[in-house]
Amino acid sequence: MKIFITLLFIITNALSNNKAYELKLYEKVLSSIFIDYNKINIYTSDNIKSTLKKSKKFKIVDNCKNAIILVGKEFGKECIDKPLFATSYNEYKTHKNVIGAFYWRKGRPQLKLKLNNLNKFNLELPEELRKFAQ
Amino acid sequence: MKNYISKIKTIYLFTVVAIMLLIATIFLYSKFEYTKQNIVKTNLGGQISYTNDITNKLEKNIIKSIKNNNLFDTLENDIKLREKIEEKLSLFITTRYRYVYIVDKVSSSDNQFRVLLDGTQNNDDKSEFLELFTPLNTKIWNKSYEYNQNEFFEHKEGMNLWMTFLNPIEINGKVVGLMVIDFALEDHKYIVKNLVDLDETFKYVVIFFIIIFFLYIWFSYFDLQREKEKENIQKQLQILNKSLESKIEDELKKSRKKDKQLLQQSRLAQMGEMISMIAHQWRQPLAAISSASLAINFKAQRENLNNEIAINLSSKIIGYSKHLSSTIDDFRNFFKTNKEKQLTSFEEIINGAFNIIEDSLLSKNIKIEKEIVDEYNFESYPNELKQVVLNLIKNAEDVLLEKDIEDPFIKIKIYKNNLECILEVSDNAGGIPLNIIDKIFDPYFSTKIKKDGTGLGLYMSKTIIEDHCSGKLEVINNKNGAIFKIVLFK
Repeated sequence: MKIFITLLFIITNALSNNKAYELKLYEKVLSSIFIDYNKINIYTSDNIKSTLKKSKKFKIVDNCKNAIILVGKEFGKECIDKPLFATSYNEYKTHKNVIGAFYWRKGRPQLKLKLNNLNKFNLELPEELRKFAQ
Repeated sequence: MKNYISKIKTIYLFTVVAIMLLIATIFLYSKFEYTKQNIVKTNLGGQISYTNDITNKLEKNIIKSIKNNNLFDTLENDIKLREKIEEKLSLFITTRYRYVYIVDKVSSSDNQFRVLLDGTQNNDDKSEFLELFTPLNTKIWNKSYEYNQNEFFEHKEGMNLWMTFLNPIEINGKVVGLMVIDFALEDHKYIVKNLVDLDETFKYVVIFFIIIFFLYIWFSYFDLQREKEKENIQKQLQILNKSLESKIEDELKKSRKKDKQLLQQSRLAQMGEMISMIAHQWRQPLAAISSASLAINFKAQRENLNNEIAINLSSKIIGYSKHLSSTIDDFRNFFKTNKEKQLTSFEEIINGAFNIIEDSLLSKNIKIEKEIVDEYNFESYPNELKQVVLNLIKNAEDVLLEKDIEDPFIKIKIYKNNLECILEVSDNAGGIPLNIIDKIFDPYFSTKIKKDGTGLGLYMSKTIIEDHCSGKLEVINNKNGAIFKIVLFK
């Protein structure tokens, strides 16, 4: 419940200070899913890289091999097996390993989590985040 | 008292004016707040009303295109119709109307909506058909959908202020979709911002005025207190003044009485001296009369008295008697107090004085020198002046005798300048010691204690010259002795 309230707060505030609150949201969501990791290795596309770099909870890696999760969109075939946290609706809809997405639609932040794929990667979704699951 | 009342009235008047101004300011501020709310409501109401008209027209247009009164089925099965309606929706998109789209609900328990139509032209932001959409303020969205009522609410995105307008699409009394329009409130925001700025300024003015008002009341209170204190002090001063006036009056009366007594004492002292002078002056003529009488007596007994001798001797007796009578007149005049000023001169005054004292001085071998450089007639009190001159000469005589000065003299000098007539009485007795020269005009100060001096002579002389005759009596020492100066102004 605490995470859910925090997320709602973050989503609401994301409207006024997008980048900072987006980072907080990524930190909350990803650290809740990858609860066993002190630092989450992320391979990311350029559009979100600069934002994620600022977090102490994330380590931005140079290739898919060392990554725990992909964040972004339009990754190569070599990354096809890794779980993806998408940053667009299209990627969320089409990627076979997408576990969730965060993107903006008509000025509103959209957080979506795909339960099937989370199970596929043996990732457990905390109860508080189930409201965002599909 | 009158000033005090008028002062209080002024303070009260200003206080009333200040209160009225305060009330007027508060009233104006309330009026402004009311007007501000009206402007905001009217402005916003106008935009909402306009948006409502748009949504109503669009709704009617869409409903016309629906088959079998089923919005979802119609749109799902007719892609061309979707594209056609979306094209129409896109026509309304301007810089002010950012988003125009239609959603429906998957289930009543879910907070998610499903996009059916989207007028957005930007592909990155355009929703697909049936794309799930999570709005903000879902409660209001649900309320609009469930209760079939238009809703609108503001929301911020970054620095921009937006208004979301929700218009349920109703077919046969059932809500089949929700038409959503997001429009900018920048104009409204600008008006509100200006009104808020004005409101802030007004608030500061009101706060400033309230502070000024309380400061005024505070100062007025202290001013009133100060006025009261001033009044009290003034009253006390008035009482003190009255008592001082009466004290001064009493003291003046006492002083005048004392002066009279002193004058009387001085005159009595002078009379004593006069009597000795009369005795001295009379001794010679009386001896001469006695001698002439004895001669007549002796010659009559010897029968030698012829007419010529008798006439000669009796003439002498008559002459001496006249001299005695004249002396008496001089002394009597001396004690007359002049009530009115008379035309006189210093020469006349010293002649009168010498008539009285000259024989006494000559008998003591005191030489008298008169130097009349200038002579000037003036109006004054001759007898009083004569008393002063006599007193000065008598003092000089006393000191010359006391110090047993060789070749003693008293010099009288009369001269004038442009403004003053001056009479100097000087001697060769060595002068007045400097340690007492400032005190010799004080009452009861005397160096002639052994000779029973009263210490009033010089005091009375100074009073006569300076208070009665409006002149000056000064003393200086020169190489021979003291010089007393009587200065009268022309």
